Amino acid sequence: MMPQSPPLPLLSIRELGITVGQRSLLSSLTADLWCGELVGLLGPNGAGKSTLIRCLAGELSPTSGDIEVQGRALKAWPRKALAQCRGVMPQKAETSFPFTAREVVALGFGQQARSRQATLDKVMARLQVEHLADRLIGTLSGGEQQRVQLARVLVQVWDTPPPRLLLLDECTSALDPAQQQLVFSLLAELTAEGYGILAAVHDLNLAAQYADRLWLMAEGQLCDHGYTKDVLTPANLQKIYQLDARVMTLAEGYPLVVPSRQPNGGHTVARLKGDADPRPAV
Amino acid sequence: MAVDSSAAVRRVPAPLGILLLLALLLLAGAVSVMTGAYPLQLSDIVASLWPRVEADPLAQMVLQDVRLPRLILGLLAGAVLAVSGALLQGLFRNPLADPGLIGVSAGAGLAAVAVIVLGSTVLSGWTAFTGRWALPLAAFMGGSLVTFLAWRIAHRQGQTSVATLLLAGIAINAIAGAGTGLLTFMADDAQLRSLTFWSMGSLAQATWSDIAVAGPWMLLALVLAPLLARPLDAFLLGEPVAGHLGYSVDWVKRAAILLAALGVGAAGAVTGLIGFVGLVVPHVMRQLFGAGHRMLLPASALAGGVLLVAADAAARVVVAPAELPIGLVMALVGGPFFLGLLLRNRMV
Repeated sequence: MMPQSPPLPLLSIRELGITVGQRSLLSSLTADLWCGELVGLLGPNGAGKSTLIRCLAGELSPTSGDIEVQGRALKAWPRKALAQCRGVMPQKAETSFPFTAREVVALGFGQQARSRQATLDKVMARLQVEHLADRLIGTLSGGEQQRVQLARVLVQVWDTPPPRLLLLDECTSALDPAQQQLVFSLLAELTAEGYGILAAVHDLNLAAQYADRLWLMAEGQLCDHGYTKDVLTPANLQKIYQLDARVMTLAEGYPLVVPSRQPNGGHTVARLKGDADPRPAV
Repeated sequence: MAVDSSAAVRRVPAPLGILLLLALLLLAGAVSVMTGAYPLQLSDIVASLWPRVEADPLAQMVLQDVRLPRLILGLLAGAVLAVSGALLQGLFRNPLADPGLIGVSAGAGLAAVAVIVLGSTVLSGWTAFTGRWALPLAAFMGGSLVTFLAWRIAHRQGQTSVATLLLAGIAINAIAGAGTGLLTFMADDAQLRSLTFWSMGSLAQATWSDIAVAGPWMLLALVLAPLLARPLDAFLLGEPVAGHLGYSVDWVKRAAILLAALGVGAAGAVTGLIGFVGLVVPHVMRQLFGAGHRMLLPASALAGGVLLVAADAAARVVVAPAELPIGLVMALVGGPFFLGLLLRNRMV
C-alpha cells in the first residue's frame, strides 16, 4: 500500500449481488462505510436490508461482488480476529434454555481468552439492564431481551482498539421511545470512539435524528445514499416506500418526517361511518 | 419449580454441585456393589480390595468378576449417554432432543444387530476386517448415519424444526425396528438371546472384555466433549450468532454429531438400548446449574453415571433373585418424565 494513500473505508461493498434460484435478492450494490459514522439502512419490508446485513456478516455468500473490511476481503479474515472487531445483532436471537441475562451478555466474549467483569458490568449499565442480570432471559420482556442481546454484541468488541464495526438489524424494534433514544444516543456516542455502525431501522425519525448518512434500499438495490438531510426527501420516501410525507427541518438541526394520511385510510373511515353499530370505538 | 419469574434465578454453586454429585456417585457405587443375588458386606469389599487382608474367595470372585465390571460399565455408559444427550440438545437447540427419541440409538442398534446375526455370513468381511471392534464400530457408524440423517431432515436454512425432528425420529425408529425385526426372524437361538438382551438393555452380562472393547471409545467421547462447551453455549442463541462470535459452525456441528454417535454407539454396543438417560439427566442438571455447557457437561456425566448405577441396583432388587432389564427401568422412569416435560412446556 502506498504511504500517501487516503484512509481506507471500514467497510467497502463493491457490485454486491446475491441470487437464490431465479430470484435476485441483492444486485450491484456499491457503498462505503467509514469509521466514525452511523449509517441508517432504510427501506420497506423485503427491500433486502436483512439480506445485506447477513451478507456483510458472512452468513450468506454473495454470488457476485466483493466485501472488504478494513481493506481486507471478508473471506480472507480469520474468524477469531474478525469476531473481535465486528459485532452483529441479528433480528432475532432467542433461546429457550435457562440462561441468565448476565450469561447471555458474557457469551459475547466468545473465544477471547477471558471474560472481563468490568466491561460486562459497564455495558449492562449503559443499556440499563444491570438490574436484570440474574434473571432468566426467557422471563424478560421483548424490549429487555433486545437490550440484553445488544449488550452481548457490544461486549464482543468493547475492549478492541478502533476501528470497530457494528452491523445491527433492527436493534430497537421492540423498544419503547425512551429506550430507543437511549440506545441510539449510545450508538452515536460510540461512533466518536472509533466505531463504524450500520443500523437497519424502520423508524424514519429515529434515523433522521441520529444517522450521519443513510442508505436507501428498495427491491434489492441501493436507490440513494448520502447525508441524512440530503437523502431524506419527500421524493425519496415516495420512491422507496410509496409514502406521502412532509419533511421539515427542526431547530435542533435534524429533519422530521411527517407522513400524510393515506387515501385508503379515508376509505376505511368512510366504511366505518356507514356501519350501523353505534358502539363507541374501544 | 414454582419460582417467581421476576426473581433472580437461584443456582447451586458449581464446586458444591460437583462435590455433591461425587458423594452421590460413591454412595450409588457402594450400594450397587453390595446388592444383588449374593449380597456383599462392606467388610467383604474392603477385604477384597485390600491385598493384605484374607478375603472370602466367593465374595472376592463376585466382586471382581461380576459387580465391578458391571459398576464401571454402568458409570461409563450412564455418563456417555447423558453427555451425548446434552451435546445433541445443544446442537439442535432443543431440550427434547434425546438420542433415543430421534432414532440414534435405534440406528446404532440395527447396525449392532446386523453384526450379531450376519457377522459370520453376509458381513463376514466386516467382522474379519474389524475383529473385536466389529460391534462397537458398526453401532457407531449406524448412530452417526442416523444423527446425520435426522439433522438433514429437520434442518433448513439455519433453523431446526423440532416437530420434523421428532417425527423423523418416529419414522427412523420404525424403519430400524423393522430391520431389527427382520434380523430377529432370521436369527438362530444363540443370536436370539443376544438380540433380546440388546433390545431391552442390560448391564447384567458386563465383563472386563466389554469394557476393554467399548470403554476407550466412551472415554474418548467423554474427554473430548468439554472442548465443545463454549461453542455450544453460543449455538443456543442460534447458528448465525455462533458464527458471528467467531466459531466455525460446520466444524462444531460435525464434532457434536460424531461425539454423540460415538458415545451412544459404543455404549449401545455393550449395554443394548437404554433410553431416556440423555433426556432426563441434562434436563435436571440445567435446572440446578444453568444452561452453560462448561458445567452442564461434567455434571451430566457424573449424574448420568449415578442414575444408571442406581437404576441397575434397583433392577437387581425389585424382583430378586431375578433381574429386570435396566432399559425397562429407565423407560419406566423416563417415559413419565418426558410426558411431564411436555405438559409443563404446554402450560408455560
